[in-house]
Amino acid sequence: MEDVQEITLLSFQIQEDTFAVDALKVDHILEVPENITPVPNAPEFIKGIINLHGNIIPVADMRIIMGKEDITSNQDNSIIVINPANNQDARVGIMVDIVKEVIETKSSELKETVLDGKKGLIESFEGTLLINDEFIHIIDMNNLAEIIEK
Amino acid sequence: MLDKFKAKFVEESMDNLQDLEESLFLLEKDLDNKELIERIFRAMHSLKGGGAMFGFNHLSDFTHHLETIFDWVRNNKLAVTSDLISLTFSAIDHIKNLIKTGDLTDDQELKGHNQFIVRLQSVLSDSTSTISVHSAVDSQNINDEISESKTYLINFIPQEELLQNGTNPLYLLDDIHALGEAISIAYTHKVPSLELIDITANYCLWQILLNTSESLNEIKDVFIFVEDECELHIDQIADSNILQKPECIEIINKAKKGNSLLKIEDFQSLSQLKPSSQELESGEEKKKITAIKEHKISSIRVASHKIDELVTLVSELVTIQAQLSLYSESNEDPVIVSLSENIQKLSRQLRENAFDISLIPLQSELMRFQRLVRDLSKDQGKDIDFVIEGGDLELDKNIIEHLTDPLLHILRNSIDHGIELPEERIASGKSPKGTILFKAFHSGANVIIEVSDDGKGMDLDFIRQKAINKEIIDQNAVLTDKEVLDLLFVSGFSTKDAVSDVSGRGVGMDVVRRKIANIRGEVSIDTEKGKGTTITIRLPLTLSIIDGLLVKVGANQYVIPISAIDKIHALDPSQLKKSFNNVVVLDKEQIPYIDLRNVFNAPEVEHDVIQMVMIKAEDRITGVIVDSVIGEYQTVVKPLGRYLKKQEILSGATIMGDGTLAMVVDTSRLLMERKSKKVAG
Repeated sequence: MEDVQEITLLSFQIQEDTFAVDALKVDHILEVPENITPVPNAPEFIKGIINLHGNIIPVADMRIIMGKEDITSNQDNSIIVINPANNQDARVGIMVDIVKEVIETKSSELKETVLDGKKGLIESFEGTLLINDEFIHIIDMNNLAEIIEK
Repeated sequence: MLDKFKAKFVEESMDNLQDLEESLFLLEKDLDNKELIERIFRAMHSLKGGGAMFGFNHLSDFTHHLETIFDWVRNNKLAVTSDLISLTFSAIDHIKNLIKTGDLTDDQELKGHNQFIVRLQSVLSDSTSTISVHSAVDSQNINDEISESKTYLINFIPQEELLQNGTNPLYLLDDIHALGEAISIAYTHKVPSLELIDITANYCLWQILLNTSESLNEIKDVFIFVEDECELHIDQIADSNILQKPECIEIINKAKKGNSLLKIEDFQSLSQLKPSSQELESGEEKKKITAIKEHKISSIRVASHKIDELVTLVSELVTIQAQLSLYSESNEDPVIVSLSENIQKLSRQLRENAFDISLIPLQSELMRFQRLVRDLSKDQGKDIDFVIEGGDLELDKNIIEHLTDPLLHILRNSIDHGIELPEERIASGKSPKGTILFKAFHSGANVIIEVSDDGKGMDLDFIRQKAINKEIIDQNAVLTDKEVLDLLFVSGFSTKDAVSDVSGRGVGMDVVRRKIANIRGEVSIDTEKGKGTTITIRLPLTLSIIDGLLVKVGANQYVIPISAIDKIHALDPSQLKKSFNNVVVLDKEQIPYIDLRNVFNAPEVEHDVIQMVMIKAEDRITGVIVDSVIGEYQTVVKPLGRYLKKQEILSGATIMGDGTLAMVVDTSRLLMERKSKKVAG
């Protein structure tokens, strides 16, 4: 019998798609501050750095990472600060269109993510969940961190 | 829970080992120093006791043998030789290994372990012959000692829990026997009948009659680990050796038979001791013990992550305080202004204090260096005098952590390739003994560490040729000596096989520079063929606070460390236009410049006056053009984190009083990037 684990996810929307990350690895959810300091010569998806309670956190734009073309901002935009490796050094903010909800589910509910014809930079997902006719793709945080690090 | 104690033990043992190594080094220079031998013995004793307590049985067993050797040394039964010291050094390495891995499970390792023990034991058996000679010569002395010796009655009544901590009382008895002539009597009358026995409990108690010339303190030291788990009385019963007197033997036999404890009074007929003097001694004893206890409280051991946390919090406070003073300046409320000034004063003191706490003396790492020099030079048959100056200099612990590997590497290079063999040295008219000087000192806001040797130096022509062969530089490139040496830092220049044999040095210097750069330090090399090489490391005092010049480039603010700045020039834009190849002429000197706006992809705006910050690095001045200079600013530098590691020109960012961010420019990186472009053509 397969090992069934309780998982808690935080879902967010990037244009028409819904994604989610492991909620236990989310440190903060922030409004997009007025002054994100751009970092010269950084990759396009790095929006810049912000000051979070005295620490410097880089912010990556998920819309660019997901290969979206339209990246106009609105006031629902949020920054989810994630901590994939559970240490200070590994914290990164990801900018999303809108933060949706916290989902409690079991690992047995996950189905394999269909990656054919995918856009964007992310190479691996932890699975896809179907809730109310809506597909939620769960992002592999370590993969995401690797992409940002490159 | 136990793991926590274990970790503590490991930590303490490492301290003990360090103490041990330090003492050994000193002992090597002063073979008869009693005090050092005592210190060594004590460190070993602590290791043994702790090892047994925390389940490091191999460690405890091994150290026991080592301790025995030094016990003999302590009692003049064995002389200290350099062989013995070498053996002890390698034993220390073995102990380190045992502490790291715990008890050995690998057969091969276990075999080595046992062989080592045999080696240790052979020291004692080999030396018996010499001892007999020794003792014959010293018999007069020994007789003197015996007449000075005193006889003690030791009541050692352990509690039932004694064994649960891993203490083996028999070891303690061994230790007592090692102090002199002793007769121990075990009393077993407390042992309950078989069905009531708790196998983890100790029911025995002991009385020991000990004749020794050691002080009461020495005897007490034996029981130092079990102080709290036993009742211990040590009384002097005679001021001479009475153990062999028939009356005494009779008393002892009586006690053994009757299971009745010996009393001090039993021996009164045998000694002329007055009880009052005993009282006096124990009173003094108490005073000593309290003195020791008071001494212990003067320093405490704190987990390093707690200090990191403190420093982080203080840095945060400094930032918030800057915001507060900004606010108080704009709101002219006198109460707030004075409050803010007070907080500023306090937070400055707090900051200085917190940074002071995180400093540790360089000394703590020097032991490893001494060890390396000693071992390597012995291996290679080189005679090297390792001189240390400024070992008491204190540095941020994070810096020291990052410094150790590069320094070990530099030292290894000096020994492997710098210092010649004694014959070679004599042939080139030098003293056969080579010298490596390790020097650490303050210079402004920096700490300088110099490692210099009087070896054969480096061959610049060879380095140049090598660089040409490797297509790092062009055949016709004209390079100054300094630039040639800089080639050593270019990654991929030196590989072990290519350089180590012929030219000597520079193996892995690119790695050294990278590691030093990680802690915002700089490395440079000076060498003279035939005379020696000096490697200089320049480091910031602390990692996290720097004085900086705030400048603006495009929409962003940047901080340039003041320590790197020579001066600031205002230029007429035409001066730049006329120059080609990014050189500006100032005071009839050609000065290369870098336009930060190009480096940071900011739009080039026309200004009436151009601000050029002159940066001094490695004896050369380079101009850096910025949009505007804002002013001097003390900054708490925060790392950019792993995601922005690629931004090498930026060494971090700092939070300004108003909460915005400014990025800190790593000037040596900036210049290096420029240089590498030049070198590459």
